[in-house]
Amino acid sequence: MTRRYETAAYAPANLRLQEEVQRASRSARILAQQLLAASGEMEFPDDVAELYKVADQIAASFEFHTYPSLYRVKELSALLGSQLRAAGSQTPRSSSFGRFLRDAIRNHGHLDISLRLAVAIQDKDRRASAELGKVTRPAEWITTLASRALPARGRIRYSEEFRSELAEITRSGGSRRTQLAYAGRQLIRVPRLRAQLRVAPRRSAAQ
Amino acid sequence: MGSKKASGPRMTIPTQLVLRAMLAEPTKEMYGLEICEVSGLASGTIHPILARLEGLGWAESRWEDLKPEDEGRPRRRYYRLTQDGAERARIALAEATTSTAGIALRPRTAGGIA
Repeated sequence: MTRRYETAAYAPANLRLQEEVQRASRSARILAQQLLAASGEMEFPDDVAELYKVADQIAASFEFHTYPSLYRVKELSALLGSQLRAAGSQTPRSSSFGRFLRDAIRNHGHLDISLRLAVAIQDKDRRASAELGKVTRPAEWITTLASRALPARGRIRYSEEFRSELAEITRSGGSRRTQLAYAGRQLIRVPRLRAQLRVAPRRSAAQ
Repeated sequence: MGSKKASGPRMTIPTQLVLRAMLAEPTKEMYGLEICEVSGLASGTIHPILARLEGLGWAESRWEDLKPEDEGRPRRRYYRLTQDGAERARIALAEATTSTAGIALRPRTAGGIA
């Protein structure tokens, strides 16, 4: 029944993102433990148990964390926040349940801020890495030129194949120079490929 | 020029390297850059060889089964030797190795050949 929460097993390259995720994980754990402890004592045990379920799901998601699931965690946190606030608005502030809810809302605020920051950093990282992984124009242009020099029946296929390999090189961190070297080599070898496609029976290049 | 010779590719060193790379795991499909890596050849070299092998029916290729927009990358072209091609490649490689070994083992005259 009681879950033992671990610190986020999450190690992205960006240290700031890692720190925010760890902070969010800690806040989620505190909130879940607070709700779990309260579920037996408060006057609305069912409501608290429902809130605990969501908090528990958030805290657990940090244990099995994968890079893109921060969005899902953020959604869950928004849901928990709205449930906590709804419960808070219906409960007298001076009651013990009201005081408990105020406390829980404050703890949820910590979780929410960390998550927002983590998602913002992650988005920025993604934009940056997308820029890094971009195929350079000249390399793209040279491979297009190479495929255009091929016989018509092999043109589309090799154009896609060259693009695919170029993208693969880029994704694995290939620099601008590596990309150009790849494209250049394809261009230099085009006469040979063209000759093979002309000699070879139809089955080779079509599709 | 026997008919047997005409049915296979010229067993140049790069062709042998490509065949060896593909024969390492004959049932495994490999994409271009993977073949380059295993064979140690430059990327531009392998496509003419693969086209020749495909034309002869020694190899076959297909597009990777994925939606590029889902994966965020273009699909790969996978190659593998056909069953018949793998058999022929083994024989051709064995013959090529024998003939190369023969050349290497031929005794040389000390002063060279005139």
